[in-house]
Amino acid sequence: MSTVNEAGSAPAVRQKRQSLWVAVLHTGEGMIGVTLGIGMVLLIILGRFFGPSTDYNVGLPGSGSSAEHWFGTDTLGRDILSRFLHGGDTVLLIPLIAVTLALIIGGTLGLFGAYWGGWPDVVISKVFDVILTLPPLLIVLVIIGGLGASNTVLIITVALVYAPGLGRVVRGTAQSVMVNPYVLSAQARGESDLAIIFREVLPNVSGPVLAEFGLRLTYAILFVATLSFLGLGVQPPAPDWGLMVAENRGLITVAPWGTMLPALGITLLAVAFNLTADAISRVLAGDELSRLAVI
Amino acid sequence: MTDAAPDPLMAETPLGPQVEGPAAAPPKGGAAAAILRFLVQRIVPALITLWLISIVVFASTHVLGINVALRVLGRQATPEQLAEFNKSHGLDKAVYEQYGVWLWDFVRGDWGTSAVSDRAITGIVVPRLEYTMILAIAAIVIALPLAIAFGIYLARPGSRARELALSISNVSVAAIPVFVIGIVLIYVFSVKLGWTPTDSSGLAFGSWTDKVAAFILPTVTLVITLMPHISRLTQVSVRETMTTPYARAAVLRGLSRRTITYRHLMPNAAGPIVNVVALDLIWLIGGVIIVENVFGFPGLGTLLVQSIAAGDLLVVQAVAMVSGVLFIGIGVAADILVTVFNPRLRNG
Repeated sequence: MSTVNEAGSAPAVRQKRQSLWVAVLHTGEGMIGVTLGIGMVLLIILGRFFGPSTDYNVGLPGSGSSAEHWFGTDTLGRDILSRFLHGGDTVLLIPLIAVTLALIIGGTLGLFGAYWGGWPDVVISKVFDVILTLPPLLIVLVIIGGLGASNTVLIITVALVYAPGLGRVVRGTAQSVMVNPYVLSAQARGESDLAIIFREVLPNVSGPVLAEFGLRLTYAILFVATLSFLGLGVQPPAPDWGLMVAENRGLITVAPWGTMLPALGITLLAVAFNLTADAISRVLAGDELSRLAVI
Repeated sequence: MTDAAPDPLMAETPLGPQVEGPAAAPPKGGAAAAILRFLVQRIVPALITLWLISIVVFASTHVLGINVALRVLGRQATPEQLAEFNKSHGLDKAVYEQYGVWLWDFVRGDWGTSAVSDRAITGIVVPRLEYTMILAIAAIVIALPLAIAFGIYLARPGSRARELALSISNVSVAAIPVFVIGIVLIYVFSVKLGWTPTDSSGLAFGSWTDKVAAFILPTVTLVITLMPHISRLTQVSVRETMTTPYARAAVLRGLSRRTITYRHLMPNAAGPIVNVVALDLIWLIGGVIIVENVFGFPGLGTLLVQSIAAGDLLVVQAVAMVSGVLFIGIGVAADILVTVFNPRLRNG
């Protein structure tokens, strides 16, 4: 039978989360991912204060590295390093907002689906499954084709693309949590559905959902940067990294940094989040498969 | 503990039918019914996906409060022209009726004329379709065996350091944007080494050697982007079969690692791999769109992005629908081929 300490009180949850992060940092890839991620986020937030100049430092268009312009200038003669240090926000913020929105939409549906069961659950799961079979980039491009490119359209379409994946993980995890004694005892105490969902179920699905959130954030960073690269995401004159890659690739023979620096920025950011997400899911899975293998 | 969990090693007889015994008895109804059921299982979901794509395409280009007539005819159009355009394209009818007419026109191959070039859209799309098809199929044919072989290699348990290094590199490569891979390849092989052309324009104008050269870097880029996911999946799938009782039994019988891997593990690991490969092919549409735009490859992906930028909505519709049909078709075809080559999957 269940004992009292299984009743998932708040301190127990907090302790569990702390030990998750400690375990993630103990894996090699988690350490690299988290360190790199913190470094990139600091660069994006604080970079603008360390730029060679706070205003765009204009010089000769398309020149290579020099003492004045460490990483050269772009097609309009703007300093690459200054634009790079100012341009990280859209690369991180738009995906972050979109995936958070996706988590709210998908997570709410998944949570209620798991809690209610029956036909609402079936309908919600089927809708998730069906949306997951659609090719994301094609669908988002078509929607942008109809509605035009803007940050709002970008956030909403990307959120809709990622909502089912997150929703499915929330639903699956919530379903396995739902049978725990502390949920049953809360139901027996006569607590309201909403109270049970938010106080008992939600805190206990956070681990797997965190891993999935990190993974989707990686995809969304790649996705939004790609749209900007294609000219259908963030619009000029924003110093967005994806847009910079597209603008400066014509100069790749004479001033390669204009392309390579923002490309490196996007890559390091995505790699950091992917390593972290992978480390979290490995810790949660306990890496059992590699221990059990016989050959 | 009253009801102890069954020991996983004792749960199944190690030399059970899943090792080398005869396949499970085929379902009733004979071979024809089995083939029919198999086709239905694979084709019906694909048709549902296509139907949904058609709804998204129709909704986002026709319905969502956008004045198609204004977008196609331009701002200088008179109200009479707009009204006539709406009438001739059936835009004054109810939405579901419009959708029906639109879908029927598409199926019949009547895709309208481009607002930008004033040419029939079929004539613009079909030559590009061929190039895109060759590119996509070349990438799959090269990437699949490579990725699966690499996944089997990854699945062998090694030292912690080897395991860590391989998984970090796999996860990292998976997070590099496709366009960055393409641009780095251009920089290294075209700009620095001069081995390959800097873009794929040779496809439209050059000799046949130029045409082949135009395919090299786009194909390599796609192969690199397809590798991490499929090899990771192969690794997980093979490793899962390594923990099964029949794998232990095979080790205990003293079979060689090669025999165990290819005779016992791979056939059983193939199921999950095939399922995800079909899903990856849907993702491949995205990869192809990006790669084509990086290399200026004259395929459907460049046409799609150019038409969106130019507001040429009828072309956007046609390209999106054709891409959907093409890639989902390739996915279903690959699925069927793999199943034919691997009899173990037929009844699964």
